[in-house]
Amino acid sequence: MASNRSILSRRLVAAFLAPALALVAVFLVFPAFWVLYLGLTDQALTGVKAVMPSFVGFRNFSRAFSDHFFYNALKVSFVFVLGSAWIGQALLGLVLALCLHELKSKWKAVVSGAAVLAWIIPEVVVAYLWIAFLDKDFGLLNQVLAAAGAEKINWLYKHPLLAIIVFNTWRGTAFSLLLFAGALETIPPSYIESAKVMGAGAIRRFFEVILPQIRAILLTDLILITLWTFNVFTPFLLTGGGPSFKSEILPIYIWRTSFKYFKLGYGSGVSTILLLINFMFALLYLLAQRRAKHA
Amino acid sequence: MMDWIVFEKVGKKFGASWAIPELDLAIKKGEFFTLLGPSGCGKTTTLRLIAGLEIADAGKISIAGKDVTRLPPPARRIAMVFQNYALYPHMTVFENISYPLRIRRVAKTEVLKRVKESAARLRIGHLLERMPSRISGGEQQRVAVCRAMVQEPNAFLFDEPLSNLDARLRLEARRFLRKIQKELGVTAVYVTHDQAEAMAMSDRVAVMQEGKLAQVGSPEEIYHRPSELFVAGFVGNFPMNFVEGEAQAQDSKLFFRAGDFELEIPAGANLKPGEKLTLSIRPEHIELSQDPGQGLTGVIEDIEELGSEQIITVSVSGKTLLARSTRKLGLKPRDKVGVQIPGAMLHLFGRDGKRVN
Amino acid sequence: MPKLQRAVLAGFLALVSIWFVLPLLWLFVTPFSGEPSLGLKFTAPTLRNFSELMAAKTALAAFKNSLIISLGSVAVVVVFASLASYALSRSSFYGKQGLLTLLLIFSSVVTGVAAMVPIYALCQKLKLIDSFLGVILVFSAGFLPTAIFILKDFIDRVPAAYEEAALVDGSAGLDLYFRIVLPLMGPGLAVVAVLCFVNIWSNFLVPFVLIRSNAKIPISVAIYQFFNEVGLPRIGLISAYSLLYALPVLVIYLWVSKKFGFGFFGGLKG
Repeated sequence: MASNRSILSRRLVAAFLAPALALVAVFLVFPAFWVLYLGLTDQALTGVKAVMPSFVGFRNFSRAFSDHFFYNALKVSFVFVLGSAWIGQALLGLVLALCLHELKSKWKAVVSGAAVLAWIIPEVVVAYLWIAFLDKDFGLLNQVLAAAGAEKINWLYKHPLLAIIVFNTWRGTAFSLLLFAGALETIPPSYIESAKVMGAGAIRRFFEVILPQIRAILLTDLILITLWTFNVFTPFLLTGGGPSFKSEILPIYIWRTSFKYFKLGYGSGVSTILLLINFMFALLYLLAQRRAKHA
Repeated sequence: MMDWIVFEKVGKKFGASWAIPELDLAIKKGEFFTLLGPSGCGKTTTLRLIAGLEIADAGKISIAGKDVTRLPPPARRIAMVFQNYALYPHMTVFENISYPLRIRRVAKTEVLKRVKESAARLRIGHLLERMPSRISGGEQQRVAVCRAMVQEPNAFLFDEPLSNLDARLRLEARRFLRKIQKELGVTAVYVTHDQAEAMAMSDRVAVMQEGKLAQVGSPEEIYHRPSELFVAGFVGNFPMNFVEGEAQAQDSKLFFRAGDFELEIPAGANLKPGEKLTLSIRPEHIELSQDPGQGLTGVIEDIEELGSEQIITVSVSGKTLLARSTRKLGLKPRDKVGVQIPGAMLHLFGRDGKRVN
Repeated sequence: MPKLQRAVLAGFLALVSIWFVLPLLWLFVTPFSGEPSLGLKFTAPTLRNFSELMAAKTALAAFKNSLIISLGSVAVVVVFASLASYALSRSSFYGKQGLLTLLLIFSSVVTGVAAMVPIYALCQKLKLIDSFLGVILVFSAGFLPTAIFILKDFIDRVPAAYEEAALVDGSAGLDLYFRIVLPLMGPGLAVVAVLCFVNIWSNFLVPFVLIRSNAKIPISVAIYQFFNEVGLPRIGLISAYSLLYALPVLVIYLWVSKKFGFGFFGGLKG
């Protein structure tokens, strides 16, 4: 890699960097810090407080911590991340990758192809695919259930959190699947074969031979998808956070308070909390990468 | 010696083609048996069939008298050493060696005893607490062998275990493996594409080509009485000489003729006049003399001085032959020499590649 | 491996594949169905839904808007990122690694609705609400760190020999950049452009928050509105619109994976 200062003068380097850094500074860095300040005001989107907000100190934060909707959103988010990211995408992705690794057949193309389709189609489309799929009267799922003699269920109404968990799992598994499949490929086949010859069963082989080899990637995957799942907004399109806030994950709660009820100051307070959570995960990710590099 | 590992009409196919059409093999208890051949000949597949990593599509495989054809690897009680040793990087040397015993839930005291004994025997006892990444290639290889030893298996299976070592280590490791095998008396099945290795280590060698056995025999037999053209060419450190021609009758004797090249064929050969033949003679069996009258007349084309011997390229009646000589003959290129090809050292192969004399 | 175990695994994979495919069927069936419904009904194959789509002025306008926003952002990103990554690759200064790490952190932390709250307030102050420019700037800023990483990595692998030769020949600065560097960066720029486009084309949240007037909404918001409009949703139109909306992304993905294999969509979905 060239670090040849004679190619670009210091001035030119600065000039080349300027546009990108300026844009990033204004629209990415500044908001990250400004939200801290906004959270300390009673800024609103309409009315007096839109034009003349006042400084209110930590009132927004104390209000959040005594607001049961906030705790609800936190709880729902927690369950959502556990179910859709950890148990859903990561576990399913791992199990699928292991199966594909053992079978090595045409199934690889079918399963990963279908999973990838679910992953890359724009979020608005995918949301409506599931609204159609889960529809109470005509949805494909209920049609299948009815054909099997079971009762039709209004999924989005009766089990909204479950619905968005399954939806988000369906949506995101491809990433973990492909990541783990790649990781499994790097394990020398002789490791697994020699374990087979020595008499280790499938479970033993997984925990004692395979897992130690993919531990680093597993950690990276979990951190990344946790970060992404905490912030995903697409469930809004399926349930809007309802009914009765049963599926209101933190992003939807923030949207509701900031853009529906126009309480930007309060929303900023909660956003700050979420951004701090994100920051924590980003740091974990960097630490994990650094540890993996020095291993 | 009893038959310890037996293949009866074993077949294995991958997809639609039979990689191994029909294999019959009988490996004796305690012997060092090598599967030798070029890549793709089926030797590794055969080894994996013994191990149970591949299941035969036809025929029967027995180990120690038991039919194991459909059994998974652990039931066969064999120990395998892979080309890259397959030592688990996250386990210490001790944990690696003891792994097969821990899987079988052998008592801790017994595990400790067996590992310590075997490690001492292989002189790696001082490495037990190290991680595999911190020991040398040669030491890793001994750890892999140790792991095989502690299992007290029916047989050791080696899949090209020396190819990852450099040349000098390889020679040392060769001797060491052979010694250990003889001491322990455990049957060993060894796969390699290196014919020198096979010759040096084995009690018997099975030369394979395209999924079939070309010849099975002691290194002696394989070298001095190759039953097929392929075997004659594959075995031996120096390239074999091949001349193609045909048998012709003259008076009451048979002669081999290829253009101007003519040689009497000793009696007892299973031949008819007119048959197409390939004549074969090892370089070290060609005798050269400064007197052109001795045998056929040849002209020296090139001499390579190796110090211990000379490799001499000589052209005889239009054919180019390679000869090896340890005696100093004082020959130079373009010298005329006498070329003697003793009838007893000749190998003759028919059109189908099979031996006829 | 024993036949029974193989069969069980294959069965499991079959079930999972079906689970992935079932919801997708609607997308490929309904646009062509004469009786479009939320269920999977393929009766009376027709192209009527598409003609209905073409007649919907909002749909066409939204398509135009999506193009403007996506292509506009791609343009900004490509220009800014190429300059910045070149400078970063060919220079060394105290804190360079730190700067790169910071970029990475900010782009992964400042995401989603939490980021949109202050960004909205900012755009309000800058009078960028309900403007293409606002959306383009916000998108570009969000994607720039990723673009810079990809391009810098790409340029790092291009030997500096070409540029040094050009320097000897008398070229320098911007002239050097345009004549020598940019052509070398070509493939990298193509990748970045494609990824940026796909990301922004598919995005819903940013325009949902920042754009107020119906005339300016992109396809993602338009579909949302179609679905939530008064009365029964026009399913035929929505399905046809969704299919056409998703098509460019599918095509691009197929093209990229043929050329590079998986690996590029990895860190970018965040």
